[in-house]
Amino acid sequence: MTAVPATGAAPPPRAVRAYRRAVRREHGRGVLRSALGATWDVVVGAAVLGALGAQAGRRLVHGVPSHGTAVSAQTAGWLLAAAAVALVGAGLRGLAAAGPVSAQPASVSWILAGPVDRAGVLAPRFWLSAVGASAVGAAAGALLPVPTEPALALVLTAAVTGAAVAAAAFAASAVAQQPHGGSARSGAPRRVGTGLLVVAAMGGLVVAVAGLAGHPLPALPAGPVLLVVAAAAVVVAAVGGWRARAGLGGLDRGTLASGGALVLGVATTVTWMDTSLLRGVADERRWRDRATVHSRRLRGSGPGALLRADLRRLGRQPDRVVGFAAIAVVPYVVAAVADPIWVAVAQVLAGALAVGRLTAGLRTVSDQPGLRRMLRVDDRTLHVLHTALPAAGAVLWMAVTAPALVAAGDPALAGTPAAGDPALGAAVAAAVGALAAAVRAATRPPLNYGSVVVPDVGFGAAPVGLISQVLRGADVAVLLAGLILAGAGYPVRLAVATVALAWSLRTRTAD
Amino acid sequence: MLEVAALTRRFGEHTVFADVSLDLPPGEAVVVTGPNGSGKSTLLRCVAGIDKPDAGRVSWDGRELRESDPAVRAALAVLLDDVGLFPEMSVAEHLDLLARVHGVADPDAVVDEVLDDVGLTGAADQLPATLSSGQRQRLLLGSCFVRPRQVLVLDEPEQRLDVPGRAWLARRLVAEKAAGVGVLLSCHDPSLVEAVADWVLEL
Repeated sequence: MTAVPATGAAPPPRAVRAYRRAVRREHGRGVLRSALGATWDVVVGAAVLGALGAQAGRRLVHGVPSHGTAVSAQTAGWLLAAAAVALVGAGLRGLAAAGPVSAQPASVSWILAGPVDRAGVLAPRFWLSAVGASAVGAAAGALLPVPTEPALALVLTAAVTGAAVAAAAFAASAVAQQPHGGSARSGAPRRVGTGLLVVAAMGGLVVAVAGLAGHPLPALPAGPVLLVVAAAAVVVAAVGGWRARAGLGGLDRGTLASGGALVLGVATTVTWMDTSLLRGVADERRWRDRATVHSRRLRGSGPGALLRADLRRLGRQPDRVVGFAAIAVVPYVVAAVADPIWVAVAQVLAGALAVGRLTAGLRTVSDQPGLRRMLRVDDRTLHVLHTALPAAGAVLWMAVTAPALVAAGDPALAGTPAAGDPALGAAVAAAVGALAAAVRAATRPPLNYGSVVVPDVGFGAAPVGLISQVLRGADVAVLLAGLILAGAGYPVRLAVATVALAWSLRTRTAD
Repeated sequence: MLEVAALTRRFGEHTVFADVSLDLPPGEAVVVTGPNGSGKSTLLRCVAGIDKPDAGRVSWDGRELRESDPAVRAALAVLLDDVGLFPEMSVAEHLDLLARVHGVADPDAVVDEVLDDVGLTGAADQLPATLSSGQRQRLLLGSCFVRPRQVLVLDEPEQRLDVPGRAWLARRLVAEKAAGVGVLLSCHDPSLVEAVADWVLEL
């Protein structure tokens, strides 16, 4: 074998990009057309979801509460501020998970592995991502105050602030992604994001309780606050963006590839509405960052060991517990702004989300037939055992959110002792409903991409069963919420929830 | 005893294998060989009850083998390409959990012994996401050896192991046979076939 000598310098990034564009064009994949198509999908999706959210918020805030107290502008303003902080926190976590600078796996292997100018190749994607983040931030900023029917000037200010904050978050995350003294600090944005979520939850709780107690906080000076935040964000975005761009060449292929895999997962999730790939990639990244744990042997044997293992696994994911606690604020916030019946609805819907935070073990055994096969227990028992922890969570959920219904002023829904057994039954129905929805979502079988594909269901080709897969879990929560709004009694809701739970735990034999 | 009678598997018009029969008495090894795509893994999946054959029967102790049967799960230690792991649990904790779920008398001692045997003592605290492919394969092999078993069903267990690892695997499988465990494996390694096989089934 003869070594091949290098014959010259690597091509400049511009030439590499031109070559790729030419190849795509030759194979019928126009770059502009692809980009426009993807942008259109995102715009339509964001517009539909944003409009739905804004409309729901307006109806919630401006509906006539049966307890006769309109939501004060002070309370609504502070709650929206808490929501904005929560959005920034969630955004930071998302950016940290995605990189935020990333490259497609093929680019990492075939282009960035060569001696090309890495910073030059990555720069267009970097700036495009920054602009995309700003656009999303602007849209969120503009939509967030809509429920309070604000003046146009405030909407525009909020949009500019949202864009600046999103750009700052992107730039800061990109700086943290770069190696500092040999290792990246990519965990910092995630921790800051978690902190902001906690702050938002605590703040929301304080505002809601103060509003319910009839002592709303003083009015938030939204305009000046937004201007100060925007100014600070612009500085962070400018300095961070400059530093991140300057350090693009130092990003290693591993970092870029894992971010690219996550972006691919997001694309798959958006295209197929199947979150399993995204979840898998995100979990892989999270545990790879954690790397090791202090191994501790379990106690006992048989099913008891499985229960203890599930509890220990939850203990290693404190953010799931924090998420559970943060979601528990939702019924209190709704109690501060809406009719009591909506509090009952929120208790079920948010309960499904909160209990779902505790179903990681159930999801793992449901997704992995090879894992189940290793254990000396039949599938049904495995499913039931791994439902114990979420069931305990559902009971806890019932206990911590019942006061929100009491505060909202409807003892018949609240489960107060004075209301007697029917009220207790309603509370149990809410807990079982939340558990049923969470378990049904966790036992979702994997989407079969090899199945028959329906040519067009309005948003492109889709495999048979896609809709039922996507809705699994959410369907139970929505059904129960609908029953509450329709005035169905707790026995009906409890029966529906129990049947849904039992149905979800039945053994699947098709694996 | 594991018995396979006239097993046939087709994918559409393509027949992967037809009329395959074999008996696996305790303490003996049947090694399935053949080129890529010859159906070795599919045969093992059918035998382990993961895939459904188009014809034929697989039985365990005279009864039709059902993978979901706890008695079958207790008897068969199976290593195919679909084994999953708990992402939040370390190497040692996976083995510990398996030992306890299968009712091993002294799980702590057995786990330590298996960790040493598969060469993962130094990686005992690592999470699965950080394991190399070779370490992962060793952990999966360890999952078969940490629990009671009457039959081992292993699909190309030598894959991703280094040279000393392959030698260790051969010794270990010979010891398993000596302890009365039946071994059904597919493999491409002639030295492993020579060391372990009592019967060779070529597809």
